[in-house]
Parts: sequence; C-alpha cells; structure tokens
Amino acid sequence: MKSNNLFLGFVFAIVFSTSFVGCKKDPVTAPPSGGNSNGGSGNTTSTFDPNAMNVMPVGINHPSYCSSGSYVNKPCVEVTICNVDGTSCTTVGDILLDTGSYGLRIFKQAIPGLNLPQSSAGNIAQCMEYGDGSKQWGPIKQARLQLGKMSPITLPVQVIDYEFPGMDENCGGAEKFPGQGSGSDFAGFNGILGVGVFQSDCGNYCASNADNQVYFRCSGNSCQSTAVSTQNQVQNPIGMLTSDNNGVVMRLPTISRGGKASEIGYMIFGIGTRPNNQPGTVTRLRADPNYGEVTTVFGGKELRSFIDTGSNAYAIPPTRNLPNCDRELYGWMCPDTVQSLNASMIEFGNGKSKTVAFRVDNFRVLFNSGRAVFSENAFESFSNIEGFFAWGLPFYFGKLVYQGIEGQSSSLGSGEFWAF
Amino acid sequence: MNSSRLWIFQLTIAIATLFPNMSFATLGEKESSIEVLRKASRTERLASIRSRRSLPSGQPEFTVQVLKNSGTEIREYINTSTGKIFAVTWIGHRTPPTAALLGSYAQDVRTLERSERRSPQNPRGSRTFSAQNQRLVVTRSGHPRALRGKVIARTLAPAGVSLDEIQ
Repeated sequence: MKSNNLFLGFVFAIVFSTSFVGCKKDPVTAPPSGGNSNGGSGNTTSTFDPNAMNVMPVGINHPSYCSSGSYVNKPCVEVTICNVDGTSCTTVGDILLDTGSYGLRIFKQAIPGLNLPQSSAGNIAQCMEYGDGSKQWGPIKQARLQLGKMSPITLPVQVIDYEFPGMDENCGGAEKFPGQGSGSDFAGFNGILGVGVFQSDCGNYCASNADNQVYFRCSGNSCQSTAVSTQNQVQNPIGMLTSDNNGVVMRLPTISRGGKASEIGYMIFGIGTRPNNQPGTVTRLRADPNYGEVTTVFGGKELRSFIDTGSNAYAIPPTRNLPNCDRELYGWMCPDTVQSLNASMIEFGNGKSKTVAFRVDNFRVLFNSGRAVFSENAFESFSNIEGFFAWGLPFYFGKLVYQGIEGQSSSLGSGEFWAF
Repeated sequence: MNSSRLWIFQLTIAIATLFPNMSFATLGEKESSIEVLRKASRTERLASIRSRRSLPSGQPEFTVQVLKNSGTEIREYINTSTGKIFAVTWIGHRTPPTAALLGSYAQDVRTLERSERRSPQNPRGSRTFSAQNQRLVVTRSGHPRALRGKVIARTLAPAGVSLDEIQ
C-alpha cells in the first residue's frame, strides 16, 4: 500500500450539487390510529391482550396503518415523534416495521411541524443503503419517540431529506418522496422503524473507519465521510426503551393459502419481562456479530441468510422447480404448482439448528388475485458461492418470533439472536 | 519494461493515485488492472479462486479475485479466454463506488435499475432486486450492514458458464 496516495482522497471532496427535476408531492397523510384487532391465531394463546402496555399493533397492508397502493406484504406501524422538549408531536403512520435494519428514519415531509436539533455529534448526515439498492440521504437529528404505550425516549434518528446540502456522489438516486408513486423517487412509506438485532445502524465499522462512506460530517454545502461513535449513530429504539428493552416478539397471524387483503399482527416489547412475552419451548439461534445473520442450508448448499420483516418475500436461490416468473415479474418465482420445501437454519458458530418448512406458490397467480398479504411468495436470490437465503415476512406468519438485541440479555440468552 | 508499457503503468498509477477509492478493476476490463490498482490503493487481496470447469488447455474457465475495500468484500470474475472481467459481486456495508466497479456499464446498470426496480407491475418492497437485459444481469439483496450485489456482463462470460461452478 502506498501511503503517499492517501491524502489525494480529498479529490473526493468534490461536491456534486444535485439539481433534481421532478414534481413535489404532498406527503401521505398519516392513517388514523386504531383499526380493529382481529389478529390471527398462529400458535398463539387465546389470552393474548392486544391492549397490553407493551404491545404495539402492526398493520400488514391494513388501511389503518399503510397508505393505499402499498406494495405486497408491507408491515406498517404508526409512531409518535416529538421535539426533544416534547413541545410538539406528530403521529405518523405508514412506517415500515423492519427487523432487517436499525433505527428510525422518517421523511422530512412527514414531520413538517417539528424542529429537531442536531445530535450531539454535530452536523452529521447519512447515506443509508438498502438491499435492493435504494438509498436515503439526510441529516441525523435528536428526536423524542413514542412506540405504542411505552414511555417516550430521546434518540438519534435520520430525517430523510434529499435536499439536505452536500449529498455524497455515491448517494445519487436517493429517494425523494414518501408514499406511493411511480419510479424510484418514491419510497413507498413515510419512514422505516428498524428494530433488528443491532443497537446501532453501522456499528464499529463506522465508529472506527473515517472512510466509511455511510456517515458524513457536513459544513455549508459540503459533506465528508467521517467516523461516528456507535452511541451517536442512529439507534435501534428497542434497546433504549425504559422497560421491556431486551428484545421484541413478533406475533403475526397465519395467512391462509392464496393470501388476504390485509391483516393485523403485533409487536411485543421485551422477552420474559411480562406474562405476554414469556418464551415457551423455542430454539434460539445466535446471529453473527458482523452481519447479523445465520446460515441456512437449502438444497444441499450452505447459504448466509437473514430474517427480516422488511423483505416482502422469501429469497431463495433458483432451483429447477422454482422458475423465474420472467417478463413484468422478473425475479419472482412462478412454480407450476405450489412447492412444499424445507430448509435448516444454523446459528452462528455452528451450534444449534432448526428446520423450517415453507411453501412457494406461483407469484403471478397470487399477485393477479389482487390480494396483498401472502405467506407463500418467493423471490430469486443469488445462486453462486455468495448465494443467500432471506427469511422475509412470510416466515413470520403464524408463529411467535423472539429476537434478542446486541447488548441486552434475557432468559433466552444475551446479544443478537432469533428464537422460535 | 519498455517505455510505452512503462508509460501506461505510470498513467495507471496516476489514475489510481487520483482516485484511491477506485481501487479495484472494472467490469469489462482486463484482469491486469486489478493488480496494478490494488497495489496503488487501499484494497487488499484476500484470495484467488479457480473455476471447477477447465478449458481444453487445462486452464480454468475463469478465475475469481477476492478483494476487500473499506468494509466491503468484492469478487471479480475473469474469463480466462479473454482476460476480461465478466462479473463482479460484493457484500458489505456499502456498494462499492459504481463508477469504478462498473465502468462503461455503470450507466446501463443505473438505467436498468431505475426502469425495473419500481415499475408499477413489479411489486416493490423486497430487499431483493433483479433485472436483466441483453447485455446485463443485475441482482441486489441484503440489508444494512450486509449489502450484496452482482452484475454480470453476459456477452463477456464464458459460454454456458454458471457462477455455481466455483470451487
């Protein structure tokens, strides 16, 4: 390595002043709170109280929680976000509930009345990128957040704002608008609530590496990649709650074959902290501390894999009986008949494993039904040595999925894990 | 090294010096660019892998260079017959700078992603994205902290090759 090259990295200080063309759209109005609580059954008990203190409803393509025209298998929540002094609050719906990311990101357009201060790290912005290549640019702010009936907490969040000055060149194409619309400028939601297995959204990589290209320190119209301590990164709210903060339980209903128009499920805060979150007989699978993933064995191959409410399908390597739908549904799987399959999840460190049965049906048929909530839809993943398997939202239906968080512990163990 | 090759070498070093983040070679270009650029930048080589299938000459059909650049692992697939990089894949905290990684294909990939990712008929929201045209196959997936991508230049790949065929 030639260290005399390094200083020339400042060539990258060139700031691209991005002038986007396009019409502005009014933010999607927050759906009203409430919604009926006709939660599904699954392997759940009849004594479950959806109004308990540590329970938050999750609407899956439900009109009380998701904007109309939402993409299929979209779990939505509403959150209340306030100025840090509590002087002004807004309740915002159409927030994607996401166990594959970490922390709250919310569109500027969805919180017009709030005036959020910089975080203690100063004038910091972020380019957050997602698995499908979509990106979000905007500053890190301190906000007061209330989840369900839990006590409010104050924490760093990202305000999604493509107009925030100094957008990094590699964040080009960042989403501009909340809600639905055609083209990649529209995110499809008002924000994302990341409640995955990590406490911070970038961890030691961004804390120890100034050239992380995820966090940027901004001055005037210019932003430079910068290291940000894990505490000053966008924080997973679960670990910051004042009680019931050692994990979450997802309780999503069973979805019958062929799908449903919409459903209601629940997120329960805490593991073993109250009668409604006591784990029964479950297998706990540790996630790896780097990627937050487990190994899945499918079709004789060992694949890295993640468990994720924000993925709206299984993602499976192509196999003979799972042909690509092609044409307008390229990438989705369209088997001739429904396929009953098995895969085994192995925890990090090659410890315990658990076999999961699942089914994949013809997505063109499902999609053309006009329904929106499916438990048997799959997308094609990689087939090569870096192949992977995603346990998306369909995995969650009809079971209780316990999830531990970095830095926390419960009767199921400490740190990052899933148990079901 | 003759003078013209030396000149090219120096030019390449100069380019690498100006763009230290662009420290891996580019889709569609020659393999030799990997080593020159790697040495001039913050990219380490982790491994080299040979394809399982061989050419009649006994050489592997393709080789894979495994590189690491700023928290992201990059694999570059080189067609032995042409010496050109026909596919790139990555996993890590961020997508490598696409201008450097995809070169002349970058705009094609961007166009394909914009046209396909969120067309009304293709229900978005998946953490996975796939699209193809006659020149390219583009796949992405993962989640924050573990973003994955794969771009294959179809016309540069060995005939009938499957990326499964890696040792």
